[in-house]
Amino acid sequence: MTRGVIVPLESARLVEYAVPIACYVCEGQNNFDAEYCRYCSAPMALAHQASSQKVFPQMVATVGASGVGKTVYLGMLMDMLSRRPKQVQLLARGAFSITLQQTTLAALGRCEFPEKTPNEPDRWNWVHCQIRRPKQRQTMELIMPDMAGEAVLQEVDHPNTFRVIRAFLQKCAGAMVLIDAVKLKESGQSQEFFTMKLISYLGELSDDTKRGWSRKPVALVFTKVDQCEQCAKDPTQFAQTHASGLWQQCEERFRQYRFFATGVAGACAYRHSHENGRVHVPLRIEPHGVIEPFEWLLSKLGPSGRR
Amino acid sequence: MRANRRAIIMGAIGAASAVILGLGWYWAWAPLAAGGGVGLGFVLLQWASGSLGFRSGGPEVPPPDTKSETAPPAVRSSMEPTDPSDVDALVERMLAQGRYALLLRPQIAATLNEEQLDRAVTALQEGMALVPDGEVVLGRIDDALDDGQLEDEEIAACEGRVIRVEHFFLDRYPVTNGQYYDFVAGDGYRQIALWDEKIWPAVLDFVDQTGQPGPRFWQNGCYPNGLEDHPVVGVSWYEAVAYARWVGKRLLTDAEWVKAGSWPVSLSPNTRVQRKYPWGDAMDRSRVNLWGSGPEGTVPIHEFADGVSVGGVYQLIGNVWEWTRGDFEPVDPLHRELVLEVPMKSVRGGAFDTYFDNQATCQFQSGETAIARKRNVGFRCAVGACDLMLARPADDFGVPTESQGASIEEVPV
Repeated sequence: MTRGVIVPLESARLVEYAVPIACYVCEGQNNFDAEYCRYCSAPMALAHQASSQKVFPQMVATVGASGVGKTVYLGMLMDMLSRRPKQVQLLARGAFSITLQQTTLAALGRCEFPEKTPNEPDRWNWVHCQIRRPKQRQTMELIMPDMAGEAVLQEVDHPNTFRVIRAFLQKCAGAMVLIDAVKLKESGQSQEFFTMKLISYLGELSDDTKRGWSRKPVALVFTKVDQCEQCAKDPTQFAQTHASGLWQQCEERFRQYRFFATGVAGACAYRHSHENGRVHVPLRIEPHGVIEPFEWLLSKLGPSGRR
Repeated sequence: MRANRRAIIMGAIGAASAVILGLGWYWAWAPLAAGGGVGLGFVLLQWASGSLGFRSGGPEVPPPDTKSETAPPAVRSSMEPTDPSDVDALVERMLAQGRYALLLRPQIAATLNEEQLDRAVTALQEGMALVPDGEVVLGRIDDALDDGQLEDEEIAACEGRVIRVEHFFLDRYPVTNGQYYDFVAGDGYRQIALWDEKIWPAVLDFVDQTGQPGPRFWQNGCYPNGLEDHPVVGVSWYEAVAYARWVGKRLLTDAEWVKAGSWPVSLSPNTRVQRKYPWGDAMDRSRVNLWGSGPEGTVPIHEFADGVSVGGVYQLIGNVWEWTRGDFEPVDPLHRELVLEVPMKSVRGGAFDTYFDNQATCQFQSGETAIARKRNVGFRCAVGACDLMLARPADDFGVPTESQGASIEEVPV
């Protein structure tokens, strides 16, 4: 998506326009002043920042079915990491990187879950951040978008529907795959099948045995475990018991994977809404197991590239 | 003053009778009827001490294993066996178990000698704070409290409710593992009179990690080593109620809990001052154990002393959520009605993992199912001032009549 602007006819400006800027995600050529990539709708700010700061941030995916809790997880993760002084710390790069944290925390503070992420990629929140780890001098640069679950599902079912998702996942250094523990336990296998499809999709993205997903770290994170104590206690055992197909597929496809359990709400109720039907409402916010999957993933990632 | 004292004692008899006779009618009176010569006070004392308790089946609680990581360091003196016919020993044991409130019930206090009564009153003063009577505003009023004052119009706009609370004594600290151990080892889970009838089938399921009766995260009937003075957690609402009955107390109402924390004062008929937090109107995380300000777990009950309430009550905010007697009110902050899959009981105060400041205020209420046994939910107890006999009639001790009429105003807080 390109923003139309009236530019005075100056030679310096014309030079800028003559040199295209490559989208950081899909590498499509864009105008100098494009806000979003014209091909994949990723924000061009990512490319500008990488260029000006002389670093190549690594990309980490947070994917899962619609309603699994990706926005809550990412927003909460960002806020928790930015409030801990002596441990792993997160510093947002650019104002746009704080929007996700801001909207998520504002909603949770009101005892509401944030609104569903829209399907349109140009309305997704992208996070570019710097990670500082204790006892490690070198910082890490990461890009983590909050992609809509329905868009991911469409891309998985119909490859190339969303170019941004495919391009992003091809470039990712690792992933956190979120799975709704309550739905997995209570509502049959739809969660398991979706996750299996996703893992299968990742596996097919690259045939490269050295750089493909088989060698990339994947954290499989059960969400909403405040309502599923069995999962909170032992997520690996829970996966073997309630998602044996998924567990087997992980065994076959990934060399580095681990199951985690996370929960953000202490207890939940729901209310009826005219617009959205039955809406879940958190009665209090007590994050558990939010940072652990991310820290594990960081420990498996290499350093950020530099120009 | 005499009339006042009489009113207090009569009120206490009524209240205590409701509890004691309601729960232990059969067990208390059957031996009395059979024995004939046994005094009522002694029978009540025996019932209260557990010697007349109903015995249900279930695994025996083993003696504490001092080698285990979960065992308390030594057998507590409160658990040493006593001769059931030795009233003095029974009183000693109950004092050691922290059951002074039960000793101060008028029916039992009348059988104590002066020294025993004094010790029970001293224990009450040390363990509990007096919260004066008065009105308190309940509801989603935190936004209106930003200036510390509440006008009647603000209360109406927030759909707040003004509730009157009578004098009551409140535990200065949450109930600890050590205190709860006395209840577990004293066969509290087998005294069926302590438990609500509807929960009887579930009581046998209130077990620890090893299948013994006790809080969920204990092992072999014992709390984890080193956590004696941490708040007990992993207890359901019913276990909290049973413990409270065992020590002669009860859970607080929501209005009592908020009053103890926010310490309201009426400035005029239409204006009140009511605190958002026990220490004032702004959050100060150095005073509380919440997420990011503590060790991400429970801390001993004496810590975070700067967060003490005006009345001298510790850790009302933070460390563990506290069960109250009331039901959770299912409305969201915008007063929209919520639907609960099962009814919930009210919890208040926030815990070591509470993330937001606005969810750890005196007013904030959350809910939990009554049988939930969570890692961050504990409780503390209260007892109505009118339910206790804090001094014997002067004639009984042979002192001048002028000193009669000990009332709650005379009890140092």
